[in-house]
Amino acid sequence: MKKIVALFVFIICLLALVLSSSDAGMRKLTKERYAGTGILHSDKYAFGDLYGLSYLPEFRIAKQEKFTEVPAGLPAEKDLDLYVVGDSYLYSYLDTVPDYYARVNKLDFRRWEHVPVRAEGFTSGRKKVLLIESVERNIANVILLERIRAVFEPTPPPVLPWWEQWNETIKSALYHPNLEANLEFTLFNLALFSPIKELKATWNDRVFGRLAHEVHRSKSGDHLYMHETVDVHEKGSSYREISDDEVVGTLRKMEEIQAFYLSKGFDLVLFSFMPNPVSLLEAEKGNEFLSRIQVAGAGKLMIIDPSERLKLNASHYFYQSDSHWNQRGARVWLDQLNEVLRSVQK
Amino acid sequence: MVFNSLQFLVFFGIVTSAYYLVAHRFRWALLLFASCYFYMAFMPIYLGILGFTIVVDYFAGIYLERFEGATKKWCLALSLVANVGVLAIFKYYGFLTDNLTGVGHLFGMEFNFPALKILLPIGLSFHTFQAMSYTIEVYRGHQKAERNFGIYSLYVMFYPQLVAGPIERPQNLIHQFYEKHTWDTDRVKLGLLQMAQGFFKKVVIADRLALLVDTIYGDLGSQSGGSLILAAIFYSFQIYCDFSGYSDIAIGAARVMGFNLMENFNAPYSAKSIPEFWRRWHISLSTWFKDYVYFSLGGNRVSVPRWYLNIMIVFVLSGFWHGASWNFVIWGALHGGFQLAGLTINRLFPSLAADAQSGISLWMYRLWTFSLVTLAWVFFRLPHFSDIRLFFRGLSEPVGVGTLGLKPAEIGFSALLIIGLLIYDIRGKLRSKYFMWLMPIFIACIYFFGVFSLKQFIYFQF
Repeated sequence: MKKIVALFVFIICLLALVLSSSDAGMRKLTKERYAGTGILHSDKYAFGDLYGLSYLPEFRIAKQEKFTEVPAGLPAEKDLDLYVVGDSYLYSYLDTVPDYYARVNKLDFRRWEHVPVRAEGFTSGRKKVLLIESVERNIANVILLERIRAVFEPTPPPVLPWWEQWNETIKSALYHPNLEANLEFTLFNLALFSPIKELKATWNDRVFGRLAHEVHRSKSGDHLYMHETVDVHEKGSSYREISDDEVVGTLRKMEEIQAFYLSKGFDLVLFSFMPNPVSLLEAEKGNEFLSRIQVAGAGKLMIIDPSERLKLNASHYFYQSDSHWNQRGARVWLDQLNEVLRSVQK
Repeated sequence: MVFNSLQFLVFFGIVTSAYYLVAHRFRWALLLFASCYFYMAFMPIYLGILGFTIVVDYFAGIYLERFEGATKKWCLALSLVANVGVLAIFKYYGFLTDNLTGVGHLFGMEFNFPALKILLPIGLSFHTFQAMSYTIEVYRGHQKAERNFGIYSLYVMFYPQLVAGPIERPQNLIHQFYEKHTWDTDRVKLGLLQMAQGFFKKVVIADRLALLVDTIYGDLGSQSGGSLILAAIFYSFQIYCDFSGYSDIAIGAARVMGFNLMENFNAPYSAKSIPEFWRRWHISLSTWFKDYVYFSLGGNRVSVPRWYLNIMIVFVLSGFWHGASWNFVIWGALHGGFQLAGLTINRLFPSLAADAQSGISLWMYRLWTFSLVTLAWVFFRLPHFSDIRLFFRGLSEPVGVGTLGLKPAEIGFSALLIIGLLIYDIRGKLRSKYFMWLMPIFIACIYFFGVFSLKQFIYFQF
């Protein structure tokens, strides 16, 4: 009996280790966990990413899973190719099909981790428009020409001394870099455990006033924000003091990127930055980074800033327990983009 | 691989179950392989350093047994030089060259020592001292030289105590690798309970206290005297729970497989004098210094000034063992100074000796000892003299808890945990018969009250 128990423990632990060390295994598991419902599936993101980080039960608010509806009444003419480099503000809310966009015949969507977009591969005579999109909190990380250029013109990795090579080889062969997170996912990312996680989150919140460190609760208490968007020490914070020099510096980087892509064969480069939800929902002490970029960049760059339109009814356009906008918010931006696309010169 | 991680729990499950599944003759190989895997999770290349000391000391042991007289002494000296040499290169080189450069500047000399861009191998001081205790014991004739290279390697590398002790003696550990351990339910339960107790101390108490301590020590300049005193007291318990928690997990993990490691702590904050504190704190290190340094210097069987000098040497070395930095040396010297002051008072006024106290005065002695230990921890915690100055300057600021947003509930809960710990230290004892209700309580408390930050154990840096 003791041997059987030992064998059982051995197999379970070994399976968990092998599965969590395998990228293919984790991809399969992730897909299966998020595909279904029930206690053996994951509900981590079903109620918003910030609920999944905080597990505060009062923010267990169901999210709409469907993509934003395709707008009606777009022009029949399809004379543009649209290339997009963007983040989850787009790919989680808009299906990657050209039907959403005015005049767009072909859509090439890339996530930020897969830049660059190359225009060379397309031989059509249509105008090539590049849209560069990022959420406000990520601007400093992604608006960097070096990052983009490095993919176009890769430099060979530095040659390490033999002992460091040996070290890296062994380490990557034996220990998956995300092993701890993968194990946590494999063993505990199940709806079965959510009530226990909620109980712990409630205890920490009510007794110590402590939330998960990635999360911050709004002053009114009815929204959650990413902590980095309110922490004045973080680069992506809406409350960090930003000097005019920094705004000019960001513009300079955007101009460099625009010039770079124009030289690579694009006809038009558009920028669009999505405001941190807190920038609109609690705007009184914000740094107004996006509007300052918009004003300073006027005439030099084409920037689509949805802030003004979203601000009109901000709480209508953002989830309470998610760091993103909702489908309505995405639609506001989409309409604004389509106005710009309609006006692109033939 | 840190103990307070899921990786370790899965690793522990695999290794322990495999240990009971494989035949006895293969178990040492299984443990050696597992220990290599455990150690390489930090930095695979450093297995080479461990390998070097293992090879040197393995052959040194054999030759120490074979030779007599001066050759034997040379053999021991070579082994010790090799071990201390590894420490000197990887741990003390930067400290020594920085200080030599500084002294050179004072005399107008310019030294250009090459910089070694190396990380300190994890647990280096622990396994080096354990390896040294083997050759010294073989030299003294207390231990036979180990012929099986694998078993000797396992003695140095046994994963539960590889990176932060307890620093074992060969007489206690090596023979256990030859013993056939069968499943003993009571022993397994006790081992698991001790591990749970260690996790509780680490993630519920130490890492919770660290939230408060790090906040205060991270901004010394704007603290009131009350905050600084609070941080100093909390740090005393943080480091105790951090290190004794590690030791509990190590001892418990070994016990589940049938191994008995030496206890490392015995309610240190109930000590009524500094010498007693050192009989209760990091016992495996303090006995190491007593056995191999203090007695070798003559112990107390010498003139009084020489005796005092011996004590001071041991404590300064102990401080230096902890880290290549002056604050550790000062920490050791402070403890040495406390010892000497206590000894002198005891000699002059025997009625004041701690052992002669009872009732209220006993508790006053305990409080006084705790205060001295806490004062010394300030030097241990703060590596820079500028910070130490800020700390003591801040003590004169108006008393009151600071303004860094420390929540009263957090402070109160931490204080409650500390009181519970002190009572448990004096009164409590784990028993396997309570396993069925104690284990779920431990697990629930660890989950609900634990702070899961994957924070390294403080003593890993040594």
